[in-house]
Amino acid sequence: MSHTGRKWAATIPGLLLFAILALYLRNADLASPPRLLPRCSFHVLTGWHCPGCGNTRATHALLHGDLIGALRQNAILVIGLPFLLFWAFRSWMQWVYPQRIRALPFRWRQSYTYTIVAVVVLFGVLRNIPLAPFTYLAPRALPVKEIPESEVP
Amino acid sequence: MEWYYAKNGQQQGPVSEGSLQELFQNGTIQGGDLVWNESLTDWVPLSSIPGFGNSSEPAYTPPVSGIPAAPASVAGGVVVSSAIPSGQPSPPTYLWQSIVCVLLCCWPLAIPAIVFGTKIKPAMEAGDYGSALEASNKAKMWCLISFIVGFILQAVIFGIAFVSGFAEAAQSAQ
Repeated sequence: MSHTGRKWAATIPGLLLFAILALYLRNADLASPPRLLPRCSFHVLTGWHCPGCGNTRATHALLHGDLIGALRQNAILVIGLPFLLFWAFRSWMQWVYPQRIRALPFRWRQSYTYTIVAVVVLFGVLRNIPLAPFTYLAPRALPVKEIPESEVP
Repeated sequence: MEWYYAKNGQQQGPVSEGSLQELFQNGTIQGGDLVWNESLTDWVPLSSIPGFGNSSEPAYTPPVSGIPAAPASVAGGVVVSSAIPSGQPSPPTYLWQSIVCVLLCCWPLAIPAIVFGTKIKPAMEAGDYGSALEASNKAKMWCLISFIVGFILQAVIFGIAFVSGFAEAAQSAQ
């Protein structure tokens, strides 16, 4: 098999896996515990919201076409997702068709990476402030049945 | 199979196997010149590739002799030379793996992976292949740590949720 063929053959199972995970998440019931979905270990351990908290709920909302609901869960994911997908596609193109890729009209600088990291960290700090404008950055709790404290081993 | 070859310390290619044969036959590259493709872990002399072995070639030349050594840089009074052709392809940055780990695994542990990943390109541009390779290996290590720790934490959280879920179900059944 050719080089390109082999890379395509590796891509298809990856895409299938993504599709299965998306379908699973779309049909998941977020409100009934125990949820068979990953939870943020940072939130479980500290009680604070990390910059990624609400990503699962935001993706769930997006998969149901609810853009506002997704923004309310994790704004930075929803805003960043188109860029992330574009970058993923470009990286894949570079891998499979390295001679066909054209250079972007700008050069990526180290400072851009630092800016993104700074924005994400700032977002993580701001969404933990329990005051009016910042509370919109925090993920909204879904009506999950609470497990009594005494029964947590 | 796409080949890269080193000529005067510069990486050339990719070229097809046929073109490589042609370059070999017209003398553009010789048995002692270094070549590389994706299936090789490191650059090797062309003469070691089947089909390019030539008995009339002079005795096997050590890999680096065909290429001017990478420029030696002086750091803190110590002469550092990577002794690897500057045409060496950049080691992997593990960037997409790091980003997947930040999004899906234990993100605090994936941050070092991204930090080390960003050090590779500047190191390569400075001709310091050794540092680039070291940063690449560290990026890989942190990706793995993030993945494993993230996996264990999720397993523990699931475990607790299930045990308490069963306990609750048992209690409400009474």
